[in-house]
Amino acid sequence: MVVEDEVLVRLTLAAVLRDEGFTVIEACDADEALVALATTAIDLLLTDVRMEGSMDGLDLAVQARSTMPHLKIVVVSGHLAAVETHGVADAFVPKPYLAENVVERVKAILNGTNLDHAF
Amino acid sequence: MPSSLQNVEASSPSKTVLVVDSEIIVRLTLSEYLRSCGYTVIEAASGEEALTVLKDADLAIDMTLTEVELRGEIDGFQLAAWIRNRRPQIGVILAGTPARAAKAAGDLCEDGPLMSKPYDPQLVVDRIKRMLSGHR
Repeated sequence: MVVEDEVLVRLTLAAVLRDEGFTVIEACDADEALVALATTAIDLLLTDVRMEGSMDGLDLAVQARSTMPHLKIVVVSGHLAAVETHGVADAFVPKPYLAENVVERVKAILNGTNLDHAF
Repeated sequence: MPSSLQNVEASSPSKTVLVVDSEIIVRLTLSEYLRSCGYTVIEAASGEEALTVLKDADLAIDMTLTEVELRGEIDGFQLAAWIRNRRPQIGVILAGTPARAAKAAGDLCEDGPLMSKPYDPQLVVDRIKRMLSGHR
């Protein structure tokens, strides 16, 4: 699932992931993401940090992790450093990013070959 | 640009539908249905997001399927009026309910790239109801 409140960023990343064969759910904020997490089988949560709504991406990651400890989580941000994600993510990707690089990171995490651990 | 979007620019047989719905369960279920019958689908969670997509010159939209009630300042009627005034070549379907949206999606599939429904639109409605009842 891609959680991003900038629609053009979200649709581009989602399209690249779909081209790679992933089924992608798109959420525009954390509230939508929580609904999707409660109703749909999701392997990996990829979320921006700064978003409108009741919580930001880090709070979303913490809440998702608390209820689904095996959920893979990637945090992307143009404002935070990796260390500021406080260990909640399996990987951190700084913005701006190339969508292709994010896809490679997602593949590595889902394949168990990700080299980043416990930010 | 992703190939699914490049296809739009290259005027490939793939057609692009913009699905606008502020209820993620409805939006993702309709979008999955339309993708499974060959459409490229762009999702928007509000009228404002839809306008951002529609104003992007790189994105060629053939059809907009929108709910009437949307979060934000722009509802489905206003979105449809904007499209008819500014992008009249784009078709607009105002759904009103998930059941009507699913019926419209089924009709789009019969007219679309694969010329057939992937499954009965009633199953889309049933899935939406099941997911909504599980969530609320």
